[in-house]
Amino acid sequence: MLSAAQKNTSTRDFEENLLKAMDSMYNLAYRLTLNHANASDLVQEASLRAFRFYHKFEEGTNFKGWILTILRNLFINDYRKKAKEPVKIDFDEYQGMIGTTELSGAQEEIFGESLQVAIDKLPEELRTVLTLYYVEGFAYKEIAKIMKTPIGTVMSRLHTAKNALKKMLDPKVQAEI
Amino acid sequence: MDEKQFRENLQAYIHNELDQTLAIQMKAKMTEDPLARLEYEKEKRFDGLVAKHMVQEEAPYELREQVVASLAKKSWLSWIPRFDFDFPLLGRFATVGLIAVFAVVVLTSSTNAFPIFKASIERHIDCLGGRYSSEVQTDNLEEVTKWFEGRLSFPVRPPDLSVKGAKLIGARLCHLKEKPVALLFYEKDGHRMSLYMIDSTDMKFTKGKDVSKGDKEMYVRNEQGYSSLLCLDKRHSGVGCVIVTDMPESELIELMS
Repeated sequence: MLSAAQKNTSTRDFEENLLKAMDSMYNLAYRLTLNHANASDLVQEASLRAFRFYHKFEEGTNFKGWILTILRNLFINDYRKKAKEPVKIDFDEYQGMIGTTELSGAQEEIFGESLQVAIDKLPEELRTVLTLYYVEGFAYKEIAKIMKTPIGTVMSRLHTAKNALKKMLDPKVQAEI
Repeated sequence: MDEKQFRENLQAYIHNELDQTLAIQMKAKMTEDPLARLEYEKEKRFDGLVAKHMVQEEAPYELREQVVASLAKKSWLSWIPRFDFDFPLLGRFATVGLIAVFAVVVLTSSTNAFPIFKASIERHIDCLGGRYSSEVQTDNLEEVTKWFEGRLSFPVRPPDLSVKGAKLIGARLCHLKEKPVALLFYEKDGHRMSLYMIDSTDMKFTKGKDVSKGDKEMYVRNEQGYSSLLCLDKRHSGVGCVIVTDMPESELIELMS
């Protein structure tokens, strides 16, 4: 059993690590729930759950990865039913790939906006893998640990996600290239 | 390496996730096959665009405060001793009930004064510890005023302290207890200063030493090695400010006069 001093240090350490990871938690929570209010709720619950199980966290290992795993598991177990389902769309015939020419500033802006809309339409596991790789910068191995899937599945999901995004991109961007 | 294998490994190659043997084979394929090279360049460009445009959402500052408050409550609850009554759960509730009654008695017997000095000093210490960083980093007063528009229910006009050698370095939204405030960061001669602008309408504050000058009501208090000065300018009725620093009290009064 921890002494009073040990408990205080442990709480402080947890809080410090938690605040550092808060943006990443919120980011993933938003990508999962597609709703700011639900994302905040999810982050709060995940924080409390992680605090309860902090004694199981191994010092020196990746705190961010650990807490994002908790958050995602919480989403899958409790929140998935409540979360807004992405609009199911029929993919049109493949419009064409982005060419090798550089996009102009305006095209990049359109691309950026289209990308956010397109990502929100993907299924949860594809949104998760995109967020963990491109935003949080996790390696495939770390993503596999967080999502509890083999590395091959991570690679395959990234590949599927990117192909889906290409198909959904604003036709204006593709037409102008 | 055939085309199918090339395509299967292309993404991992771009992400530097392939083992060395496969990576060498991919490079060789691109050298001998211009179409493979072209496909690589297209995919790499698209990958770069995705990486560039994937937005990271930032956690709202209220969420951070709520989470910290929830953790503090949870930590506090873990200190409640268990009594061995016949009904242990009832014993725990009884303890909580007694503490709650005690708290109500203490709180209702105290004044309704807002502990502005204590709250601002504690927050300043948190800031020095790196917990609250600037949301807008600038020394431009206009930029800060514009940034706060629509974010608080009162106008925020940062005081220009540059004539006295204090430079504005940034700002953010914050809370003192439950009150939303504008937090402005200044620096002078190596001293960090936190200046909180608060809607002081109908508020009573805890007492400090009266150091008022002219039409500026000023009160100062020292705690934990910091000086905290509350300034209620009658010209900007309703909006007060409190500044906290480790500067000597006399210098702080001179700065704000």
